Amino acid sequence: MSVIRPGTIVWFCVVVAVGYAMFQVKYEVMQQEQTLAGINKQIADDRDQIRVLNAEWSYLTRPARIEELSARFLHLGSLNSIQILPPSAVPERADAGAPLAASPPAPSTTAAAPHLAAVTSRSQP
Amino acid sequence: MSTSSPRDPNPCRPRHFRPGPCGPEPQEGPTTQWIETSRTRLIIAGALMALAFVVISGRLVEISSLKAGDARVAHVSTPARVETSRADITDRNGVLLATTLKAPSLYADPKTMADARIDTRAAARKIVQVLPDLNEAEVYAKLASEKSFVWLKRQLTPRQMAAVNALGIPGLDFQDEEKRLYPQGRTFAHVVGYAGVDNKGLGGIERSFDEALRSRHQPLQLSVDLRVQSILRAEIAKQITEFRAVGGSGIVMNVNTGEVLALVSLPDFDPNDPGATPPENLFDRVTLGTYEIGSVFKIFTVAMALDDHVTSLAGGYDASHPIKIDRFTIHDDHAQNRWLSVPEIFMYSSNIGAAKMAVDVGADRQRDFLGKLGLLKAPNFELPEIAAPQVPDTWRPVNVMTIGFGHGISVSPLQIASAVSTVVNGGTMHRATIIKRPEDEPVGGRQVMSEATSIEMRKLLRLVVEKGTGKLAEAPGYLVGGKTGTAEKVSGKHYSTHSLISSFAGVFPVNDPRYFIMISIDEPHGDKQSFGYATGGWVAAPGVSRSVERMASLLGIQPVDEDSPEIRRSLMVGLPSPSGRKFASN
Repeated sequence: MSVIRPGTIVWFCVVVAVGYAMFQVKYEVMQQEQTLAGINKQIADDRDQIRVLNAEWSYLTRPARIEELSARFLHLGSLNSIQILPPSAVPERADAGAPLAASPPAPSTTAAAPHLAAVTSRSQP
Repeated sequence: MSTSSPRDPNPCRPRHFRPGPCGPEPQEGPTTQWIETSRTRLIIAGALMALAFVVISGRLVEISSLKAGDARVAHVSTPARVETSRADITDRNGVLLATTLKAPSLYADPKTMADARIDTRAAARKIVQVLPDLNEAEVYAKLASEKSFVWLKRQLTPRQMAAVNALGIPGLDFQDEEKRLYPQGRTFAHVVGYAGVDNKGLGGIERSFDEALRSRHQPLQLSVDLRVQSILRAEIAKQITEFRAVGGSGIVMNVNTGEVLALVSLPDFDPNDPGATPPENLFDRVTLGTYEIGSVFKIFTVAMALDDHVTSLAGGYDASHPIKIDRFTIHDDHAQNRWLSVPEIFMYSSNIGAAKMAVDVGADRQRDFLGKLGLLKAPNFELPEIAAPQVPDTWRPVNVMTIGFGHGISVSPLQIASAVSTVVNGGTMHRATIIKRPEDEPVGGRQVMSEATSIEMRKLLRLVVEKGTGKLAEAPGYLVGGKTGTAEKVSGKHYSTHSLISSFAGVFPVNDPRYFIMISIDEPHGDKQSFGYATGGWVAAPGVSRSVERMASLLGIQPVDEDSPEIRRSLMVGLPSPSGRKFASN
């Protein structure tokens, strides 16, 4: 009985192939899981960081601090109700096609709102 | 067994077929019996195996097709959520007011340090160099001890942690702890409250929503607006400094929803370090303080009289003589000493007129009306620091009179806010809230007075700012209407003339009210600028004016021209001509 039947060889090859494939897949999965765990940890760390940064942002944008910085660097006065106009109050330009730079500032605007001129001149010391 | 019975002619004969004629005769004896037994055993074993395979294949089918891709795969594919023990608190625009951050705490293991032959003296010096608020001698004592665990410092910042790590001293380690942080500091101290070291809420929203904050992950969104709050706080602080007052409070409320946009009580405290301030600063003047608010109460007296048709805008009362009742004398601070029309009584804040008006309405209806405005019982509000008003037990005639101009009854500014909002918003009482209302949800409310009365009250409130005691509250373009109030604080059994509570309660824009604002200053002292006066019109009204001017554009209110004919007409009130008792045509 020394003759190996062809069927046996085929089955043996199948077993080896399946075993190889199984371990291949297993290691692949392990590696993927490791990567995934790494990414998840990274995400968790980033979220932690985001929390810290959010808190810092809220701290740095405290109105009191912004006010102080604005007073120090911007030299702007506080908003006055006469500086606010509804869109309907803005006059239509006579020549709508003319380029913006070409049209000189209408003298009537500054005359009607001298405080605006004052604000603009103050902001450029 | 029946098959092996000796009476059987052929005990080994298979039961399902007859043996061929030339087959060997089955052997008798123990061998056949043995074969029989193994057969049975084989069948049992086979059946068990088959059962096991059925179970395994059943399980296979279940895993592969019935609940595909469940269990483990799903478990590892979701990134770990940042688990904190308390949810964040934000303002109505999502600005962070309270958050929880991981804060590592530093501890030492002196035993390990001793085993590793660390020079504890040098180690202590190095640690103190990076953590300067520690005491070197104390750190040394801890490191030299025999214990295996000593805290060195709780809740380090990330930077401090990195510095300690950089020292590279063995035996030092960190334990993750959490720290509740309030990035806006004092600004929302009384609203948000504070939490203790063990993350338990001890005041404000932190306390009333303690359970909810522990269990939820979504931030809790309040109705307050950081910008409005800081403006109001800054302006009140300014008035307190200018008039050398002991404190102040303020509230901004949306009159149409009852949402509180700002709630300020000064002096306040730093919620990041609540232990560092005197305990009296924890007191919330807006919700826990009750005050005899003075003439602001005339808003309710006049509204009540108009709503009950006891009098009308054309009616009036004689205010030429003080009223003497029991042992009290009621007189006017801004005495005109003549007959006054209802608008004039309101505008000049006549105590005599208001007292007479209250008497005309009567005790029962007065109590009923004030009750409907929520002034007689503790309000239903989300903050835990809530005071019940002080109301007289028996409503005697003198009480009716004094309550008519805001004395003999103490209420909290929060109650005033809700009540005045009701008077101006068309007469609907909304529950005050500090939690943001969903925009698409209708706001429930109870109609407590007629809309016509509400419209008349708007006109009267505007009159006070335009011509009466509240002129300094004017904010050009934003149509502030309101009422001043100055009350003497009760010290012991009687009123003290020198310690006042000066308030201004206002609404803007008064022709279509959207926000209520009130500022109260506690014990102001008149100065040169106010000609020595410390009344609501001089002390609180300017703060309201500046606050409204700064916050109106942020609240999306378009400035209007007060002198335009339609606005003039909508807010016109008839006043008698200065010469006598004649009325303007209205």
